[in-house]
Amino acid sequence: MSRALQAFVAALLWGGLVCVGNTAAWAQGTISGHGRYVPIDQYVPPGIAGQMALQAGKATPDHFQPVRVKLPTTGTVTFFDGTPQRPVELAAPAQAGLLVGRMYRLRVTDLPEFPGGEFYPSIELVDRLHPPPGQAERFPVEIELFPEEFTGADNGRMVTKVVYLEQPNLVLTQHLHGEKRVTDLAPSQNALAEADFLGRPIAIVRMGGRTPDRNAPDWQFWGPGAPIRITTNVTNPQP
Amino acid sequence: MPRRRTLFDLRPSAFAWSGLALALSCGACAAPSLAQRDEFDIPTTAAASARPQAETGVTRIQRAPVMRDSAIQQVAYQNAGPACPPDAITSCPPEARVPLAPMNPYGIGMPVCDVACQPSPHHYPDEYLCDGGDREIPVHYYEDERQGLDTEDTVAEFTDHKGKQRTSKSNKVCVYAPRFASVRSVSLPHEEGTIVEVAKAENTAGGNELQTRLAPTLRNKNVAVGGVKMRSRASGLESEVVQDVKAQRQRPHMHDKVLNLFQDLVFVQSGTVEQGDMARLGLGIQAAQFWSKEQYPVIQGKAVKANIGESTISASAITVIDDLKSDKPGNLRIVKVADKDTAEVGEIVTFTIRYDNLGPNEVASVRIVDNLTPRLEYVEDSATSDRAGKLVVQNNGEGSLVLIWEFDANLPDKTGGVVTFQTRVR
Repeated sequence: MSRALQAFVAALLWGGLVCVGNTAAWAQGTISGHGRYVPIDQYVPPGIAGQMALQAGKATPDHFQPVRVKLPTTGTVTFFDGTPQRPVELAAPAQAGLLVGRMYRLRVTDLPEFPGGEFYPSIELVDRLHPPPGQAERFPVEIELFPEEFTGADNGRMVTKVVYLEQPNLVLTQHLHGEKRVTDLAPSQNALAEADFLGRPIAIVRMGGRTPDRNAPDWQFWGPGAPIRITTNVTNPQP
Repeated sequence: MPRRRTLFDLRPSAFAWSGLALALSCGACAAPSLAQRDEFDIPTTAAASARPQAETGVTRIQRAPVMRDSAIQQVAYQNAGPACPPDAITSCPPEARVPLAPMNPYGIGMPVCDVACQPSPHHYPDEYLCDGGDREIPVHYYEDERQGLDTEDTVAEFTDHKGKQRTSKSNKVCVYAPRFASVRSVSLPHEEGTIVEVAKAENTAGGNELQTRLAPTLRNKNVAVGGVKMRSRASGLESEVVQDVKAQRQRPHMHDKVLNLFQDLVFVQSGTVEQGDMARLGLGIQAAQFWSKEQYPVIQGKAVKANIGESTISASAITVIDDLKSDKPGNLRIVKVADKDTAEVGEIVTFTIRYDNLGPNEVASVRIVDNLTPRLEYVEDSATSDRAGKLVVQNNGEGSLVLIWEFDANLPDKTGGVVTFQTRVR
């Protein structure tokens, strides 16, 4: 083997090791309160948790799970059907069917609390619901965005939220009397493990202060895109 | 000397080719046209000419033009089968096979459905709001104190004719009412980059200084002189740290999570079948008994009914039993139902509890105890009863209430009553 070939093979090996190290750099396993091993945390790159959920058989890749996005008061929620060039604007609370395991970028505008503000949260479903036949649109996954989360994103902070389906027997008593059903964690805590302890993680919502450059679309920001499903005969409930 | 080929030499190959041609012609035209006659309308020539050429989902085979004016006439295997009409549908792609139910994370290779193939509270209890039954620790008495009354539990307490305190649990009624909450963390995205940059600078400077200090302390000038190697080790310290991190991070890359998810299942860990699985197995066994064609003749062929009908022993036995009062305690049956099977947050759900003393003796001090699940809020003054008594409301310490109906009179055998109450879904 010539010296040049040896150098090329060595470069390939080191490059592969570096790539493996980078892709596995998000791995932060945690033991949840139930003793289950949660191998990832909320800081994994968007799409990883969803793909792992699909591999675990929690849903089929073609299943559209209705999702309802609630805002503090009013506003406009824009879904993107496949690409950023196909926006679908809906008044909040907005409801659309999203595929499990895919990362969706949303745009939230017209917030009276943030005049002129644009926010781009992302939603990644990691599980689905199993309602009785014909009741799927009536019982969507409810994702509520709170004012302090918009404030944090406006200040350049990264808000990572894991929405979980409450275990009825493990409902926190402070969530029984109309308070906001959200629990703040330290950044070092594994939100997926905490959500797994309190219920069943359904979705990961990320919202930061980045806004896309309209003249140069960043595909890493938008993600690969995925189709959405809008059911027209469902009237969005009043806030 | 080459042998001259005769007709017998050509016959096998000719038969082979002719047989292949016959098979192709039958397979392409005759068989599909017969098999798919019920599913497709064979178009006429005019209709076929008007149809666009590019049609999705249908493959059409063009027939070869017949050379009628040719001097060579094919005399064998011509028009052996029915002629294919022009543009006849000869094949079509198979229908997409869509599984009836998705994969079951609790059973590899098995769909997520029961016999009726419908989702149920047995499969996804966290999506349902259940009340009734006797969850976890059974209700029991220890030194006349009731224990084991968990949330969701609905039981009937009574005293039999011998003065012994007994309980009976109700069925579980579930309402589809999922509710969501969230956990969140707020971080600064640039924190990580700052730490990495500082760590690089401090490690390099600190490592050099440390080697310089260690050398005179050890009084080993050779080691100090070989500080070139030590510096390389100091820089190598970063590599060791990174590789150490890589070693920890390679485990999820190997899909340990998927394996662990399956290994975390109760069935995989303990090898025992839970009560919910027994219900599904019971449904499957029942369905299998109904669906088994071989068992029907066996059941119908039995003459058990005729023997029972002709026997007079049972009639005399009934007469004797009627004359004697049984000493068995009264059996209180309690059934709970709800007025709806789905409910959103804020909706009112009305529960109805029917209790009956199945006998054979009367029971006393009947109390219906319902420990509401935390997400059910009792609507005040909504409880009713068709028998005289009182309602005692207690706090269960978990955010909801315990409703206790206490009845004044004893409950004779073969009698019963109904209580109702309303709850609001939180």
